[in-house]
Amino acid sequence: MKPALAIKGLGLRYGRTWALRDCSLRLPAGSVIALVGPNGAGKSTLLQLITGLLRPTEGTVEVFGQDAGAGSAEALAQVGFVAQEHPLYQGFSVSDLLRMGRGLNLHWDRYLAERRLGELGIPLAKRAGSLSGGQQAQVALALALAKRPALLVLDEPLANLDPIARRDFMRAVMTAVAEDQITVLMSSHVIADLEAVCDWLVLLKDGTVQLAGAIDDVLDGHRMLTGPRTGAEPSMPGLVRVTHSERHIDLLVRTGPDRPDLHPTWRSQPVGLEELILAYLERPRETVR
Amino acid sequence: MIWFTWRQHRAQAFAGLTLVALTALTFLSYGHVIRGAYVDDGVGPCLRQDTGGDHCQSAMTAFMDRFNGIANHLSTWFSPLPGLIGAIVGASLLAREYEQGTWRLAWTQAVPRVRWLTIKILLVGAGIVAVTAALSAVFTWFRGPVDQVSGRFAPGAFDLEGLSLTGYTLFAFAAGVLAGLLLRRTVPAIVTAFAAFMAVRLPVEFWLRQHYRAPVTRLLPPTVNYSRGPRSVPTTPGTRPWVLDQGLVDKSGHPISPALAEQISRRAFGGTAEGDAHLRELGLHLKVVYQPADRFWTFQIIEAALFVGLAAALLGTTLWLLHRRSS
Repeated sequence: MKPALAIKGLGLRYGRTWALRDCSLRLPAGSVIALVGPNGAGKSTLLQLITGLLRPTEGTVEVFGQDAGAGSAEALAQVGFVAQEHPLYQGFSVSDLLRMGRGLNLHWDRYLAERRLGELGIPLAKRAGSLSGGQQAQVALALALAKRPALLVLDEPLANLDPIARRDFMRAVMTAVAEDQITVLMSSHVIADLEAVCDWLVLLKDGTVQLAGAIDDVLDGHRMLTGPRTGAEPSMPGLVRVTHSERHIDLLVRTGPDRPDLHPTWRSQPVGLEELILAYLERPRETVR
Repeated sequence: MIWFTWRQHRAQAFAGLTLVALTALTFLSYGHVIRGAYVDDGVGPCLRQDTGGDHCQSAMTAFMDRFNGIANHLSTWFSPLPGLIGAIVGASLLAREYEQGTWRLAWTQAVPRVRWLTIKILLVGAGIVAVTAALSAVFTWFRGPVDQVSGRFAPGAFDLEGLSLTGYTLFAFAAGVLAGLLLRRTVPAIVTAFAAFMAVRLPVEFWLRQHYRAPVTRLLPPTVNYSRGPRSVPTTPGTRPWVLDQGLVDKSGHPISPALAEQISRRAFGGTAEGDAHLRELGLHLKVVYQPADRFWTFQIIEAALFVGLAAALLGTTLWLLHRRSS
């Protein structure tokens, strides 16, 4: 399939520290991709490189074949972005913001934006600053979607929203996915937010990609092995995490052809997404590379 | 982009127009008073007759005593104004976007950021030119009669009339834009831009400006009135020039000794004519080093070019940094 995003050897350095390094990804069009990682992992950096807000120190980002680093009007036009804390011009009315979007974009679906906001009961005459946090997030999303982007990028869209606003926001995103088949890339550090809607996973930690793939494949590719505790530190290929308990030892492993046969006393179980992600995030830094 | 720029800066535009309107209202009404006095005191004819004599001396002294103070207060009040206007408006271009996080909204629409900033600079810059040119026009009209006497090189005149006010404001504006990019905070950007403005503006006024062209030196018949500051009778014919230095010299052109100067200033003369005659008997001359009044526009153009050139350099740097910076 033609990739929505092709990222090769991407890196960004601030002074002497690398916020992101050696990042290579191919993300399929039409998917809803979760970008997961702890705070400071480089999620916002990666998203700002994809939206052209940051210029890479090394490597390239292509969005549907367009170089995002160039920051050209065509490249900007195909990415809709809702930044962290969904910034809006607080003094602008909602209709001012829509007029701004119409003036600053190559494509603009005015009807779509007005319909979405109308359905949510957000008055166009109101100043952005006087709207609730959930409404501001919806306005920011409507602005991003009215561009008719091929890729929608959402940076921590659900942070600072109450549960109802979260549900409404995700509902609006999923409606757009269903209606327009757009590709969505959204970051969060709350895994539960993403599990229900995402079909792809990118796991970022310490500025490098730990894991990337379709969620089904990732879950199929991992197993939790439980066996009797022995004194020796277990070692086997594809070992992600070891957990010791009183009598048992739990091994989270990547399945593969080279996996050795296990003693029949060991049990093998599938892994949940949240557990899997936590296992990767908990790995000590030195084993990362 | 035009509507967007207008929507973002319309409050500043209204504030600028209000400032022009209030200034015009205040100074045009008071300007009529000055014009009336200028005619009634007969200042105009005195100026046309060169040095005029004692009658003109007192007429002009009275006129300047009355109005020179207010005309020069104008420069005290309004000198920092271009720096403030420019810094505040300039800082709002980038610092406000960074401070409120809206740069991430603005630069993910389909207008590349360098183009976005270029258009904003051009439109807001045009607004600044319009407002400052209007202010300059008001000041020029208001100061007109006083300028006839004291010349347009007087600090209150040169800095507010002609092109200089516009040049200063554009320079402070450019400093505000660049400071906003570097500091990303509105208030620090305003403070930095204003400090940078003063750091350039003051040395130019007090040191650099007099060197734009080589000054003219003249030896004139001596007079005891030369040291009376702005109220003294013009010592050169025509509109008063910008006198850089003047003093009594002896036959060989050397400045007179402090002892002799002391002696002359202590001595009470029956009138200006008697004093002047005494100086002639001593064989003294008045040496004046000055920039002629007709160089006003040359100096204005040089000064404006200097500040507009600096502004262009700062804005060019800003656009270049914005293009290549990673955030």
